[in-house]
Amino acid sequence: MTNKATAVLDLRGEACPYPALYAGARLKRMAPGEILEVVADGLCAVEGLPDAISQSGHKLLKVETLANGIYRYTIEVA
Amino acid sequence: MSGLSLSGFVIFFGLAGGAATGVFLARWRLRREIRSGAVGMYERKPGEAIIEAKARPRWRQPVIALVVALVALAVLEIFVTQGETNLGIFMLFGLVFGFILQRSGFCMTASFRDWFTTGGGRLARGVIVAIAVAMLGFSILVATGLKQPFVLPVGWHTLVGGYLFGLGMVIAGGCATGTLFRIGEGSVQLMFALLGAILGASLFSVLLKTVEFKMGSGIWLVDSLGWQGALWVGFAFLGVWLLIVQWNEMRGKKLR
Repeated sequence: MTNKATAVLDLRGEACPYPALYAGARLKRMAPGEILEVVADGLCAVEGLPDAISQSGHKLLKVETLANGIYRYTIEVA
Repeated sequence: MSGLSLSGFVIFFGLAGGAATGVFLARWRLRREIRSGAVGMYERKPGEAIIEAKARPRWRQPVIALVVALVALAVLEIFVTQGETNLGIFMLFGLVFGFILQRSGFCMTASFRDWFTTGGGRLARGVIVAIAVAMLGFSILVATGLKQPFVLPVGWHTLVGGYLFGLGMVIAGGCATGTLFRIGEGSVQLMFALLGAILGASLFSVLLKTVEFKMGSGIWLVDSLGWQGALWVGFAFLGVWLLIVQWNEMRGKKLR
């Protein structure tokens, strides 16, 4: 892994819209170039988070499936 | 709304207001948790292992789906042999509908909520297209006499009802169909939401019988404006809605 995560949020079990809100609040406290990893599950993760991240102008570096239905998003702060 | 009944347009504003309040409450909870430091419970150290429980094997879900499909076919067979073919067809529609809803993530709740959270318009566009198609289909069915128009009474209660539903769907995390397909996905939170919905609807139907509500009469736009006028109003409304969604998305609202 070339990019080292600065912070990791475990938002499993949180329902929409909280993953996007929590991730957004955390991203606001980070400096440009820092990396945030978000772990989430459920439908919100599958589509709500990528939508929200692209909408907020930050860069979604990658999405990984950690297990069936659990995803990790690597976001670079813009 | 697709039925060109005035109540549908009124309820829209109620839903939007309710969704805005729901998002406001969510933000309020978020701010409170940031102030108290409770958000710290979500923080993990970089590199820390996240998955501690043993992950479920991937083959399990397709097998369950196959069993459900076989059971559905058996039930369909029972319906047909009992002479209830219509019920069987409804069930088939339900299965297909549920599949499409889940795959597309179609969600009324998000289509309203995202105005105020991320500004993303993907789901709102889906809802707008769905209503446009339903509006056309409904018009064709009614104009050819295949279907009777269904007009709900309209009044201040429509707005209040829409507001309450809008608020509730944002807090619960799903509207009616959204709740159902997410329970299928395994959402425990929405199982409770469904219980609440069933309880609320049952209580309200009892209340509706005992207390005589003065709900007034419905206004069917086709009666007051003619087919042409009603369809113009309907599509103009959808057009303005779409414009607002696009504008909201372009504004690039940061996650706040």
